[in-house]
Amino acid sequence: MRQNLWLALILAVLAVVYLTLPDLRLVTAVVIGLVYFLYGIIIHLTDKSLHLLVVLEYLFLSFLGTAILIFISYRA
Amino acid sequence: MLAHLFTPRGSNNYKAKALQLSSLSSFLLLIIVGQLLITVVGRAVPGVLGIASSISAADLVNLTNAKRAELGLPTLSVNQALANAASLKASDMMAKNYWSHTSPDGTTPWYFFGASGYSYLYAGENLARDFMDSGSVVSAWMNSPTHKANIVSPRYHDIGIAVVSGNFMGQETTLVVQMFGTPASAQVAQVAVAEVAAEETATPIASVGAEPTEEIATPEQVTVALIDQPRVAGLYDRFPFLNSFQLTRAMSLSLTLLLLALIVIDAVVITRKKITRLSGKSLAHFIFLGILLLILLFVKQGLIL
Repeated sequence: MRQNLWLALILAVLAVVYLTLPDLRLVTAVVIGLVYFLYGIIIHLTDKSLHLLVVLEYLFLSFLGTAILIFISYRA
Repeated sequence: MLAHLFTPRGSNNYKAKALQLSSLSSFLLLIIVGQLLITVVGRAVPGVLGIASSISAADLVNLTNAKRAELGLPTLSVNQALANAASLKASDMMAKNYWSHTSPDGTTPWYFFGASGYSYLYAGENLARDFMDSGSVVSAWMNSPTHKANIVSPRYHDIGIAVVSGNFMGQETTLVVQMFGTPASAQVAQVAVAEVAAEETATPIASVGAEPTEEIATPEQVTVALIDQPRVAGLYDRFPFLNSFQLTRAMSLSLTLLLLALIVIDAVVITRKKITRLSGKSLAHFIFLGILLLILLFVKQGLIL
């Protein structure tokens, strides 16, 4: 639960950066995806529940989120 | 079929089909192909996709002067030569397809001041693109310290604005160039009033919105500044049928909301049925997609430079 709060806090800060600093949008979009992916890996490593399927699940979701953020910043 | 797609059950190995890797990769592919289509259609069929705006140079001048008036500053006079300079700069950006104060071949904004016959003592430039209305443009500039510094600078006397619509960097959009200046002749008047020694030389100073540092430029010619009516330069009169930003946002919001709903349904069913399975953390996915949703809801259209 505590780790999830940290994730929410870090992503919220990055979201504010994304929204307020248009010049940093591309970098922030990549960082948001990376933070989420690494969080997933670390949490499942500590839980000893890390498997290829879990890694791919986080990878695909982070790719999806990053792609959406990059495209929206390109169109905005 | 729907239950198989959207709820965890035996037939989908207790994970909604829409949340499985094959579906996530399909969603990713869908987003990428959708964006490619928007770009290709935007370029191949002008007037279909882009950003339609109601921005006008007259409104921008009025709003800029209103901001100055709030601070007790004198209003800026619309100058035809500055409007021409702004129009030249906007046309240059459109033609060479660049989004910067300096063109790829090194042409600075100050070149356009000279080209339109405005010899300046002080000069400044603000740029904006992809906005929907004049109020949003001025608000964005006022929220940026360097752009605001240009708008509320007491050293400027004149203003010239160009609003140009056309195909810019792959999509139909509206580009705004706002130029500020004080003519070199103003120095002569100031010196005369203050009775300062005649040998004192004037140093022209120029600043651009995104760069707080000042640049020194040498005037090439001295001309008498002509004051004229605000200029609205529209190179293209067509308005795009669809707004590419709104379309992209709608697609992204739909997908994010769908995934969020699926994750909630998935978490509820799995918890109720006390099913143990190999999967990522639902709460982490929910937080990630929730933040993504918030960004999509609050992201604003338009860039300034």
